[in-house]
Amino acid sequence: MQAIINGCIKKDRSSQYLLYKEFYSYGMAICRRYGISDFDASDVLNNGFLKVFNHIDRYNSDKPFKTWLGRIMTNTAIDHYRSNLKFSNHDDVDEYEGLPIAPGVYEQLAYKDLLALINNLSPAYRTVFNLFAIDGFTHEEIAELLNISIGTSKSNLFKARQKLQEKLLILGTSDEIINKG
Amino acid sequence: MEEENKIDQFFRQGLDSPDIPFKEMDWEKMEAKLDQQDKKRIFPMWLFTASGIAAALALFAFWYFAESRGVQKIRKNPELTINTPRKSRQQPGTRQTIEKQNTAKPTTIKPSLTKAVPLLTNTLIKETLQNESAKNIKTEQVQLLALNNDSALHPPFETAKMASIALIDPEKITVQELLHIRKAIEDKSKPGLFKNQGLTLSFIAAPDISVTKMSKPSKLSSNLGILANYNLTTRLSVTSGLIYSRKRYNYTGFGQQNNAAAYPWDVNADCNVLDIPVNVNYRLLDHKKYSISLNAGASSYVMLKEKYQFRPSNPASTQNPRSIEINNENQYLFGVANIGVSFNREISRGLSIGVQPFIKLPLTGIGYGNARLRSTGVSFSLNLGLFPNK
Repeated sequence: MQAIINGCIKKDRSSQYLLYKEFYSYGMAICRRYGISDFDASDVLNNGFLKVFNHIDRYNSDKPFKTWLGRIMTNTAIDHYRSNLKFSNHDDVDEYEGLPIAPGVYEQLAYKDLLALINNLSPAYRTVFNLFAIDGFTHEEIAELLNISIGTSKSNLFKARQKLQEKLLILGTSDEIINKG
Repeated sequence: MEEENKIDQFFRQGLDSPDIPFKEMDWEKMEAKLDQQDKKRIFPMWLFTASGIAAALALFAFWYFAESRGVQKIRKNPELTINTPRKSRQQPGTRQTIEKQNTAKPTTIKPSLTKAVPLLTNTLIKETLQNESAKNIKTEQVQLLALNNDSALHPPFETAKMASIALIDPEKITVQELLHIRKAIEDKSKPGLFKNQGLTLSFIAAPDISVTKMSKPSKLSSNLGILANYNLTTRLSVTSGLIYSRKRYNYTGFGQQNNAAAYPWDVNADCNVLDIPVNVNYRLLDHKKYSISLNAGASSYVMLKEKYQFRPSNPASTQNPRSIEINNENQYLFGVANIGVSFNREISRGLSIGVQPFIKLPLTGIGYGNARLRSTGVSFSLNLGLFPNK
């Protein structure tokens, strides 16, 4: 891996190809879950990779490369959606007790279904949920990245979870019906 | 930190590492993007190099023509000495023959005529002072004036002063007047492109590259302006005016917004600036058709519109790209030093073109982030002589 990175630092095209191929699926997954259409996804992905290739000399090898690349992809995806992001200000949500979810329901849901669920959220909810739940950003980081208050970030996360849970319950019920039938 | 949420966990596991099949077509697009970027990066440097080459060519052409003029002069000088005595021997009133000669050999005689006048007056005055023979003077005067009359018929050499000599009544001319005439003629033939121009107006267009200490290759900046040049002495002149310029540069700085102070940012600046220079020029070389001057001085910058785009230096940073715009806020009195060399070439009377490689060095920091902005460029100018001196 380090050899490929070194090759990319020297702008060696074959190393760039190898890196691109290696992280294609990972990068594409990020683009898709930030609500970018299949049509635009490869463009956004390539913009992200362009940043990766241009700044690869700034990559600090102490941290996993995948994380570094993931952050760039996330930033690129958010840039793409930035104009659509409208964060309404909600009251601070300090505590949230999730509804109990019966195990066994989710295993039947495929990647595509989950993606559809995520993409059905409004961009603001989806972005915060993605950043917090999947990409592991803190509310402080999200607030900084999206130029919103920490309270808004927490509130949006809460609303996103609520919506997802509602949908999952509907799906779960329907799944049970299908399974029984 | 809240406890791991089940929904979060569920979605993370479900979405984190899907197997999306690799599309070779997407890589092709990526390659095209990389190629395009390489081209873009080369572009400003290419343009800059091109303008450098253009400037060098202009300089070369300038020297070439200046040199070939010099050669012509030397070659024609012997003919001049041959022609002059022959002509002076001719009697007044034989203009027809002179005219014939002129039409037959225009290239040799025309320049020789201009040279002949001071030469003639020179010998004339010497003789006058030596033997003070009034009669002698008068006949020679007539010859001289006939010559001048003749030259007045030929537009290339029809200058106001020569024509005025022709109008002088030969009977009334005195030695002092002759001395005066001689001086006038000498002044006329004395080299000096701007000799008779007190004030010169220049229209300039100048591309430059503006950089700071920590810069990536930056885009081309452009300058457009009007300058006035006033001659203090034959060698010294002052220049001032207004230059509207669009400076584009970049630097690495530290964000000063929110709590981002500790993180480095790449800053792209795009500023509209009014540059008010005050320069002193020293004319190193001053030929009839061209001149070379050294320029030094300082410019005041009036920032009209400043646009800055901040991007986190590390693309993986969580910081948001930002941009700020400042209008009419910053002025820097003599904040930039100007150094340059200008080459001017006359294209017609009172009109000349100039090429000026220049460098602008920072005396103070400029704009948001106090960038030490250094500009290197070439200025092209069209100079118009106004209100000639007497």
